[in-house]
Amino acid sequence: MQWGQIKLLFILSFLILDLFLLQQFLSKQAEDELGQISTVAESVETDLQENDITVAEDAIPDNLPEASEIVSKSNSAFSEEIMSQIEEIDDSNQQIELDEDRQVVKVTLEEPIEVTEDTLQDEVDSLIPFSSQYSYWGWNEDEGAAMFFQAVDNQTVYFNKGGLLLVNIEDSEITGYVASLLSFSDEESSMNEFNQSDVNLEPLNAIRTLLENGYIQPGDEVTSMDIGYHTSFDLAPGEENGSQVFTSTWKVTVNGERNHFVYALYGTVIENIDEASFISDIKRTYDFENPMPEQTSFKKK
Amino acid sequence: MNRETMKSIILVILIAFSLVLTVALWNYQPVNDTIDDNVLIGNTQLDELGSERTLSELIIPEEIVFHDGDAYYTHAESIDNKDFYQQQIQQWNVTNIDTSPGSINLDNHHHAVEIVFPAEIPIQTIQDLFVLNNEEGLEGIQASFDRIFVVQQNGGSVSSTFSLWFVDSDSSENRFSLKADISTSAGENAFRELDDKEELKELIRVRDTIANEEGSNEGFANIYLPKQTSRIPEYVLQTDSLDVRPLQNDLFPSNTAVTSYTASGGERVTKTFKQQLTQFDKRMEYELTIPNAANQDDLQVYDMLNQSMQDINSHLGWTNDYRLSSVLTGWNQVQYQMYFGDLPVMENSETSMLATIMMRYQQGQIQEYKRPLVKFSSITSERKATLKSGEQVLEDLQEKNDLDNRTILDLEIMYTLEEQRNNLVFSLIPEWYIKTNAGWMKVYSEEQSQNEEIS
Repeated sequence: MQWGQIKLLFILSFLILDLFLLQQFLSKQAEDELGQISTVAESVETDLQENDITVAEDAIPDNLPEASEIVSKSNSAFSEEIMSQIEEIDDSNQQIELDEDRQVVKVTLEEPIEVTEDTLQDEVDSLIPFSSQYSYWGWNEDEGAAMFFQAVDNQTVYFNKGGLLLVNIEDSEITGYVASLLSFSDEESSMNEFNQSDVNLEPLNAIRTLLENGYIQPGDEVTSMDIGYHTSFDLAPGEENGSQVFTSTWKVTVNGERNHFVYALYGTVIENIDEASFISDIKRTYDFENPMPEQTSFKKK
Repeated sequence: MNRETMKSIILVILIAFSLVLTVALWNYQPVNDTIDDNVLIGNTQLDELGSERTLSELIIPEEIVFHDGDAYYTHAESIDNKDFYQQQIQQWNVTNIDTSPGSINLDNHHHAVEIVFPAEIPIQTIQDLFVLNNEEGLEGIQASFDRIFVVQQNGGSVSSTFSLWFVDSDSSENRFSLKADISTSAGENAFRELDDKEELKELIRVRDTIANEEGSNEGFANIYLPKQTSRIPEYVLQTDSLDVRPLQNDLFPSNTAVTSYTASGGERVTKTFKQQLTQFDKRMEYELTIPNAANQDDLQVYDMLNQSMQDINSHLGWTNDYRLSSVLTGWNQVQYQMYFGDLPVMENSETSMLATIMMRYQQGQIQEYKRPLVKFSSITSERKATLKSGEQVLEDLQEKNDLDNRTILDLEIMYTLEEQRNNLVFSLIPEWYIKTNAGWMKVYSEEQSQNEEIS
């Protein structure tokens, strides 16, 4: 063989070797970047498969926000803007009452409005000028109330008496509502120091936590997941005039019928939420039959 | 440049590249962003004002009684009881542990030493209180004890042995939790305390004075009272306030959002989404909400004791002479009481929770933690109060018809912590206390002070 041919042969073999080594190097790099996260995800997926638990295709939201903790202000009185909207409510057939600290408004309709599941949102929008602050939670027909929870940056604050719109519905007729709003600092910066910006929310971890603790049984399907806020120290409006700390919370809907809540940053399952007692508690506090006790009635100027 | 030179250059480049790649692959280390765990969270310890404790320093008998036939004695000075406990009893080398020991009859033993603890203590604690060579066999045993009897076993052999009987005096079944032996010299040393009666004071047994209708004479829950009057110093205490920040840093996780505000009652509330620390004028209450019952495994009693000791140690929270006063198993609650001059300190309505540390656990975590935020120290102890003799107290109690004698669970001299409004100090007043089913209360109400004379 000629020396020139041998060189060509060497060039070809080294080219192949280099390509192989390069491919090895790049795949090793990619593997480490995905690192444990992907292995965790894979192991959760196998866990779920083994337990015959399915996750609906569109259950996990695409754009996940960063996990964070937010702090409400000590005195969550209605802002001037909301106050002016309340003042504009037509009070010819509505009895409007405001508590002393301007934190809760209770409205009683003199002529109840008929409502169905389909018309509820529209009726609420026309009745309550600031209804855009809330997102619809659900209509509990047994307890006779529809609930709307306050939303902060498109994230719902689950089950907090300070950020709630409760519409009283008797025999498919709205008879009144009670509304409160938490105020949060406008300056994002004040919350940023608590932002756990490095922490990614792992929806599958929340599902695994529920599985490990027996909240999800084999055969269940996770139909939807949502991220919102919750606190274990729920203060009623005006109680202690205290501020509250809310932390990112997963709402996991199973089989489209029941909800589980998991603190996203800590993997703690929140079990002690009972919708029926939450509603009856509020209904008792803001007795819908009688005017609010010790409240100063608010009259339109 | 001809074609062959080009080929040579390409070949050299390819060889070099392959070498570089091989080295790179060989030495590849993933670049990991290490999460900085050492976030600066500030001081977590009550430096200088507090200290650490071990279980053997927290579990101290409230009484050591020497049986001499029908007569009972204890050290005349209560400090001697503590010294005797720490320098002798805790040094005993405990052997031959028997966890199903049968029973003893104290009437067969002329001499005995009775060690009375203020609370029911899990049996595993003996590895902290004594010197044990073999700790096996204690795990998993549910037994507890509140009294230890030291008796001499006269087996008739050449050398007699001394045995410790661990007794749960409130229990009717399983009263004898454990039996163990100590060396002859240790036992003889303990019994030798009886030789010098000058250093001892005589006690009376309540059962001998007040006939107990139901509990025949076999009961072990005996109450002993000093036969003579007692002269106890009164103290005036000043306080150093504790900074709540180290406690908060220790109890709250470092990377969670915290908010604080002043509540309507004036107390300062600091909280996260699941924890709340309420700071009152001189005390604090901490609370953790665990929003589920996922983990039902509560701590074993002994582990809970250890955990509470460690949790308080971690912020050097032992600010005074605190001693174990009660363990409520069902509640997962441990309580420590402040002692001063070796006497327990009781609170009145104004000084409530100023001489008590209370901890409650759930799922292995502190669920509730209440403690004072002051450290007490004495300014003066010039006055000594003379308290009525045990005989007199029993007589007085019998005269009072409203008190059913059978309900006496304990009788003790304790200090009452009183706040002196005008000069911001506290005083410790020694008084007779009685424990009934309704809890502790003073034997003599405020107006008829039992202080016969004050010198």
